[in-house]
Amino acid sequence: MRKILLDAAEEGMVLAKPVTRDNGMVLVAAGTPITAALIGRLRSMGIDRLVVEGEDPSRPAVDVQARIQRVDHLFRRFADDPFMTKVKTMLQRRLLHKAQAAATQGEEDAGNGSAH
Amino acid sequence: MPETDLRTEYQGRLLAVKELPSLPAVLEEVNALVENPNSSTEQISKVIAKDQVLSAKVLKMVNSPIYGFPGRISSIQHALVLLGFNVIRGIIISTTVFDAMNTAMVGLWEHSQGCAIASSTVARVIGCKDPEEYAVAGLLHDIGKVVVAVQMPEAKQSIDELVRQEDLRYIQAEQRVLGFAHDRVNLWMCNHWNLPPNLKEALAYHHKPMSASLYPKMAQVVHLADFLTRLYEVGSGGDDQVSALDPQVLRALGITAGAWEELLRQVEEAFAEL
Repeated sequence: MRKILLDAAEEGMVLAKPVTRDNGMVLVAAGTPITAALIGRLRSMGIDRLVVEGEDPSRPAVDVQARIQRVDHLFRRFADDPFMTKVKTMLQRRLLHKAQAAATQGEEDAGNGSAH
Repeated sequence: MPETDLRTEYQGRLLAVKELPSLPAVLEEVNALVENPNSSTEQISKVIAKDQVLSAKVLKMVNSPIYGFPGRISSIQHALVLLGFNVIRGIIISTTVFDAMNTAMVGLWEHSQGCAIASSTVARVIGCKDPEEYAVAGLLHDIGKVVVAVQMPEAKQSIDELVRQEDLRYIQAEQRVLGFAHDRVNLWMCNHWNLPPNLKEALAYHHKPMSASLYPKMAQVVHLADFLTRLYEVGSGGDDQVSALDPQVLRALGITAGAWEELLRQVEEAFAEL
């Protein structure tokens, strides 16, 4: 699930969340496939963001090293704190595991020829 | 000048009523109604609905994913019944203060919304009742920073400089410049606005959650939520560091290794919805 700008919406994507007005009225239900006509209709109603199914394909595992470094940066003033260091190590290990799992999953999907 | 006098002087300036973000007049009327056991939610919602701009803002906020009923609340009365008066009051306060002071601290509104959704997510995962009350505590947890930024802009400037020059966390810089930090200001504001004790403890103790005596759980949840919001860098609390996580909080909240993984997964999902 990810939030995108209406301008980035493409046919074939599927709404993961309903599109609503500010007052909560549902305009389009979750699970609706996006079509060119729907994009036009949403634009005319002043909607500029959507939540669609699937992860952003342009953000694959490449980011992991950067994210791990970023966590180092966020914890930089806690180097002398054993507990915070433990928390940091645990978070970074989790990032690595997740990236590895996603990579294996990606290979399997490629083998099966499925989209995601 | 001795430190305590300085503090009293600062407190006086921060509470200088004429400049203080004044809460909408309807809120006073509503407070009076709530104290009367014979009032109905219909009466209360009518008073709020008189202020159309405020009602529109409240409805927009209660329909965000933060409060657990995204896109499903169609009237103020419905919101009052589902979320309770404390939550609606917290939302009215947050829109008033942040609206008037939107530009005072860049990124703080986003940080506050992030902390709100993280607080209700943590509360839900560990099985607290009324997670939306936790959301409001998260939403208001840094309100003291806004008040200082508006009432004492020169102090805010010195704090920002210290953060930049010495790579301090915002709270450390506040302590250096003012002798106290936003958690203290939160306490003053809670007293000033007569906020309920659970909210008051969460706001005043979110940096020392193990010292909260009446409602430790709420302070602990907001403490953890603040850390997570900084970890995922949702908005900005004034510096780009994580907050110091109290080693005792995870145990106090009963979060085991397995629950921690589930918590991170749900928090990531919640942040993606914002």
